[in-house]
Amino acid sequence: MKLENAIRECFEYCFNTPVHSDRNVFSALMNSLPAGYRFYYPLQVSWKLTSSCNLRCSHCFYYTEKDRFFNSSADLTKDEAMQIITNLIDDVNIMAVSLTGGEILLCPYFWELLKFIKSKNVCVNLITNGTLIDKKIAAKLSSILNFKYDSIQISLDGASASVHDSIRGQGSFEKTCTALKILTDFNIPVRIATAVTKKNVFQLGEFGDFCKKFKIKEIALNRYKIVSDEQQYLMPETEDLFKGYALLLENLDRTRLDKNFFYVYDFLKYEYGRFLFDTENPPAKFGKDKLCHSHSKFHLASDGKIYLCTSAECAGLCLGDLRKNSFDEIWQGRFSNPLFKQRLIKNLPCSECRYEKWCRCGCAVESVCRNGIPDAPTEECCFVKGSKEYDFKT
Amino acid sequence: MILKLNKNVLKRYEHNLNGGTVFLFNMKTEESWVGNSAADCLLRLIDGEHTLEEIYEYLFPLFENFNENELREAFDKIVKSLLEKGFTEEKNG
Repeated sequence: MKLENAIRECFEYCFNTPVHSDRNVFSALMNSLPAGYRFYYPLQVSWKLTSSCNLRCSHCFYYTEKDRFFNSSADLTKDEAMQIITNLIDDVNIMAVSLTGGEILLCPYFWELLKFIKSKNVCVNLITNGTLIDKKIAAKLSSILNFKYDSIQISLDGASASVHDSIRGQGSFEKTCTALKILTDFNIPVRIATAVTKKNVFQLGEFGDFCKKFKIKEIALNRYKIVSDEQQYLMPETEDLFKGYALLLENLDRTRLDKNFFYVYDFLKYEYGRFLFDTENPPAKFGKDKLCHSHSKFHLASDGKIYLCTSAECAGLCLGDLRKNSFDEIWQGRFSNPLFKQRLIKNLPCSECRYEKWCRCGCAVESVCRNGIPDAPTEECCFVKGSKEYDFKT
Repeated sequence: MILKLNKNVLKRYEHNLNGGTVFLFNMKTEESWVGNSAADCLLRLIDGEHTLEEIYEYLFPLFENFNENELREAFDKIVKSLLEKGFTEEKNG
């Protein structure tokens, strides 16, 4: 496929496809929020329930420090976890929890915690590699979850064993497909999540047929983030991302695709991409407050430490420790943390860049990791790279 | 009368919205209910254990600028709305 055609197709999908929301029940809240509203407490939490995992995927952001991240000796006990979730639901009023890991089915108190969360009507998203799911587990999930609001996400990194197993280990593709078949038999809707790497980017076009076969309703494609130079070999070229994604779009049939895949910088690398932005003037899609989260979510690690997101966890940018302080104390103290400060773009070259209203200077975590402060664009920025070809001054 | 929250209800309080706004979501019917910070105070005390009078006895002193009749009328209105729309129910027995 010609690159320009691929860029065009991806551009149209990213900026012209309306955002889909399943949770109409929360519209009373979401529709009442004024522009730029800042939540006092977060709405949702991504909770790494356990460090234990039965796989050692080569692209995992915990892979390069296996001794540290896969060691479950510091994980929260059941009592600690139940105390935390009770506080988060009853006092903080979180509305949604994503349970992730490691592998969540290896958490010794997973079922008790899940039943408790559902007894409080909080929405749940389960993120699992699927290799441990059998009929018994599927039956249990079917009885506990409400699929109008809850979801199960299975990680899949290839449409074939050769590709998937090259990342996740031999035999994992077969086990994952078995799980997908079992879940389908139980009428459990599943979303598959794929980290797009050099190994699977050329196979994205085959995901459409895979989804039809297993009746997958939704795919979430995730940008691959390198944590260490050891994983550089997995990073796909931007041109291949466009081509692979465009092929996927052509072959998807009634499967919903998460549209938040491309960075604005991906388009700006190419003259044709810049042309599209200059002539089409798409709506801004990133946070209104120059923060990507408007204080609406956080990440809870398996040892009780709180972070803004998983990237922040890998970077060691901890907000606090629930074993030492209450959530309220940690959260109210967040404004002293550089990740929660308003970015002062006016003092930077970004203020003169006509593309800033779209890119918003990128990920604040990456800015802090790179520069020590959030007031700078990320490394992907073509302006930062200093190439004369990418002079964006008006 | 002893009240309890409907078992299908999820509650969310927004501190920064209009001086404090409470949202109730019935996850079965997809209905929602919106109230102010006073409603949130009431909802926090509805626990299926205490009577409405006991709750009022605790609540009224917290609102120094209002007399008891005004408060009773206001809270009775909230309770009526919650019952009519099925977000709370009377506890049997």
